[in-house]
Amino acid sequence: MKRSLRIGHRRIWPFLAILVFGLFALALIFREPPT
Amino acid sequence: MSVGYKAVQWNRDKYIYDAILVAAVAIFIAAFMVIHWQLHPPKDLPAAIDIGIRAFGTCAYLMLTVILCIGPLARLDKRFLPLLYNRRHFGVLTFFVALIHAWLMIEWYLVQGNLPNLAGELTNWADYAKFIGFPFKVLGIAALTVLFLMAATSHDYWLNFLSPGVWKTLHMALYVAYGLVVLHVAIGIMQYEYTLLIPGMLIGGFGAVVGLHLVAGWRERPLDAGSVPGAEGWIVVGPPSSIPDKEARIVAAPGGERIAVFRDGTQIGALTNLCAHQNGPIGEGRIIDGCVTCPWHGFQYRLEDGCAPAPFTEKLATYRTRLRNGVIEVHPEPLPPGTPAAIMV
Repeated sequence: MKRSLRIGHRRIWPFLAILVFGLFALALIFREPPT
Repeated sequence: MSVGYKAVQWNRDKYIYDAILVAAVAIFIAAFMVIHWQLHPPKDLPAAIDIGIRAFGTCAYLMLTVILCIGPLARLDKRFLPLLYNRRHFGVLTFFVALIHAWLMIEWYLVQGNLPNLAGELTNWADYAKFIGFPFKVLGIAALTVLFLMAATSHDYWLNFLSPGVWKTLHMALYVAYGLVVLHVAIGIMQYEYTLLIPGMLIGGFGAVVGLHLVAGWRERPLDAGSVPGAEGWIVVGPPSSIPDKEARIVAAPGGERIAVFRDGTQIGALTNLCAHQNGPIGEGRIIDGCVTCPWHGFQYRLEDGCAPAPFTEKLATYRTRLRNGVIEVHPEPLPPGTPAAIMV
């Protein structure tokens, strides 16, 4: 019996979201101030 | 349904939806360019093209954000289902908006006669070791490639050719593309433009996508945990009247697999919750014209045996149901697709 995608993939997405948000936060923190 | 070519099923609603979609995109891009032009009049042709790059890029990002919000919104409230039904055209249009963004970027180099600079930027391997200074255009190109693959395989021909499982997995890559786009903007334009608008747009969009998915997932937690079957392995659904007429109640087998228990007047039947088309949530649909109808794209099945009405050939797995002490129960062991199993109460 096939399982729904929603169940099978669930564990991947939180890590992906945290990774993207973390990199975004770093990009925001380390951006050069205006000259 | 066969692998044979099948023409797109156009109808009046789709024409109206597509017209609104195209008009909204055109208005957004025109308004963006006019406002930007007024606030920062371009000094030369490259500066004018740059406004176009920003307009189409912003539009593509916002369209991606909306597309990714449609799924959880439809799970939270059925009134959003029409958006989901037409999501495919939204996605294909997003690819074209992103493609124009990329094409304008190439044009920006071309009008200055320095296209080799673009190749130089992309092949300066030392930059790949940096974080700030990483060739962010590569992230955009990767996201555009994903969007292209999805737009190219968006037709039902490819859905049938690849099978619903493979097709849906491929199309889940949109989430990866979205992540790439967020970073493309974060280490790209956000580094050059010191305005709160860009981080605000990224946080707002990304937050909406993540937040809506979390809320939708949280609401479905009890279902995902699965039911505990009784002594004989049957799952209690409830009295027949607890199932809305022409609609379903969704219960979960011990492993979390969902079962849609429909009631059509005095007939009750249980089907897998996965539509044979795109694994859509059958149990969130209704019985229309005597057939269980998937809320996503309208695929239909007979309640009594899970078979699509002729000339279609799709079949869903069914489940045994019984009425015991005035309560409907369903057995979590699926029957072969197309097995008659509905009962009259």
